[in-house]
Amino acid sequence: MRAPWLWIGLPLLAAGFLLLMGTTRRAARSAAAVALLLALAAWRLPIEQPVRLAGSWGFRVAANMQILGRQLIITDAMRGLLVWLFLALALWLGGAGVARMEPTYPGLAMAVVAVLVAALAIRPFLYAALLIETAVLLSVPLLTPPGSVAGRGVLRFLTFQTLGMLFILFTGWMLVGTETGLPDSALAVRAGTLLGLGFVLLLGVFPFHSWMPMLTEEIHPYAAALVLLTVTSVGGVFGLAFLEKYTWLRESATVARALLTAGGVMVVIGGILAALQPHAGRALGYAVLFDQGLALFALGLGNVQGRLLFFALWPARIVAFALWALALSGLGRRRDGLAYRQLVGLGRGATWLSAGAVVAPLILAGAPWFVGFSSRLALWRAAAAHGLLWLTLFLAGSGGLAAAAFRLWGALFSPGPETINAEANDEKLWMAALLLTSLALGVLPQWWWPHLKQILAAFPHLGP
Amino acid sequence: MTWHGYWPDVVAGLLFVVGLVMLMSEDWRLFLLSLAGVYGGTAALSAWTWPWPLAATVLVGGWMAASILGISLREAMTPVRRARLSVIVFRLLAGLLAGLLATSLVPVLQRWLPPLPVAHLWGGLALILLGMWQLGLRGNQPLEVSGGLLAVVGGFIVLYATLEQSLLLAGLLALVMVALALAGGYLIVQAAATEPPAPAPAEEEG
Repeated sequence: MRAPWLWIGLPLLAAGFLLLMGTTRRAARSAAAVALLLALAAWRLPIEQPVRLAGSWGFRVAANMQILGRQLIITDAMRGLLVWLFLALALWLGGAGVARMEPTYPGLAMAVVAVLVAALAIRPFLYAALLIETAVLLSVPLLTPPGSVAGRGVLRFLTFQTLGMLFILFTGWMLVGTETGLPDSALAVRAGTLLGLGFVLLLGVFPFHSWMPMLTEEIHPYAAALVLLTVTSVGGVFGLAFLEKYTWLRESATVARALLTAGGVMVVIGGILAALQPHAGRALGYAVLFDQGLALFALGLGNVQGRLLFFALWPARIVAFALWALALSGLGRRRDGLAYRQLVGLGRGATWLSAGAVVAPLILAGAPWFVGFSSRLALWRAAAAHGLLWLTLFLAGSGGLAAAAFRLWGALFSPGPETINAEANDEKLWMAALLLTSLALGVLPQWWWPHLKQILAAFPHLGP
Repeated sequence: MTWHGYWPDVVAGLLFVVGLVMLMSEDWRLFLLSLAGVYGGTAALSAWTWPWPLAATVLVGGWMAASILGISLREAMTPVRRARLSVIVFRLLAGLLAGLLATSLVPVLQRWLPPLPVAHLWGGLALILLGMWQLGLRGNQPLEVSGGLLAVVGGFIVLYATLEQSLLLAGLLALVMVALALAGGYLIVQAAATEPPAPAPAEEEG
């Protein structure tokens, strides 16, 4: 058995079958089960080591696979990353039925994640840019299912991702042979600038972030949030691979400063603009920008703690955005839109959904006791160590996101037309489960923190 | 120099002309014909450094992309539009500006890249700039966005072909081209399906 077959081939095959299923619930349950199994396999199955079944019977999972003269390699050190990716996918796919997504959603989401895993596994790793682009193109039918209108957000998303891919591919050629040695200063500036531009477009770094709020405004929030989070999270890991491979890039003070600055600006812009939006979907898009800003700031710290914090943001990202997107799906369905004026008075009839929609941004802002608190507290401390300005930026961003939550609360619980649709049992159950999960993960960070440390094992030069 | 020596310059010039026609055209049939021409030129220039079978993947991928977009437009029963003269003149001037900009950027790229015929540099760069113009000027329609991105990718292939010769790269780039067209075609059909029906023409009185 080969690891790329198991974690890339199998999900792609499963995606094909899932696309043939007629109902969302069946497809979502099957897809979540497959994703859970793959997460379990990543947790329990060692790679390139014998696995004993019974007596002298056993097998070994090989790490690599040849494809058109290049290799797909999933090493034992990457298992931690796979566990988190497939766990997150299982959670999001499980909620697809509750969000009343199209029947094609689980299959397409599974295919997108499988291609993104291939992007992390391909060698030479520069080809990852092409695979990320393939995942982006696969996500187009996910974002605009039959019967929906494709707005400008999707077109802009496609444009920025394609241009970003080309910049990164081009830089890859420039960087050949500079893995360990320092390139001459002109080459370093050129390659660094082009690479930076590629990642700025790929990750939606300010000021190239306009597609994020546009997507979450025009598209179903559950589809838009999944695509935004998977593409930007895997794009971030791809960025880490560059830091891992090129010593001069990893040790460059200019790169660290650029990451800190970009991160700080994104945190403050994302938080404050989230508060100023008249649309709950757009606020969600700006929250993604805020969260990306935190991740870039963590990388910009330039030390092991910062890289650990980069991954420590993941649990909050997975759970809080699922909670928020799921809640907004339910609320938007009841009023045929997510503008605050449309949501007025909905809170009394849809209490659980409203609670989810209000608590999620607070979790992302760093509310105590919840899952995002420990990582944000560590980042606030790191920001304070860099200077009062950074801490002020962080607090302004978090304050903005909290203000967005209270603004939504105000709209939901203002006197308005009574809602006719009561909440379904599955909606209540998922809201309660996600709220409890975010609370449990927040109170007991020692549960997940050691597992996140394992992810860094895939990057030996960046780890402890 | 024999006529053979001028061949890359001729192809680069033709590539620019078809790119310019693509930018100016409002009629989707001419637009797609130009896109097919762009990929003919891209494959011809790539064939200088790539083996022919590899360059053929670019041609096949590009023409498949144009066909997919064409089929989608027919499926969506897109009417043929005609641009006003002022729009055509504006786009022509913008396109010529892209050509001038490419000319001024060639010396810079010559310092950045390994020795490469000027025709390749200029052709690739001009095509990228024309594609960017397309995205900037008409970036809210699926056909124009897909076409613009395909033009940018085509220009990139002309430049990148000299740097990397890999079967997987050529295959993935062709896959990206076709997938871009599929995504564009899907969005075209979606937009047509969700558009409100056009009002019936009012009957003339009297």
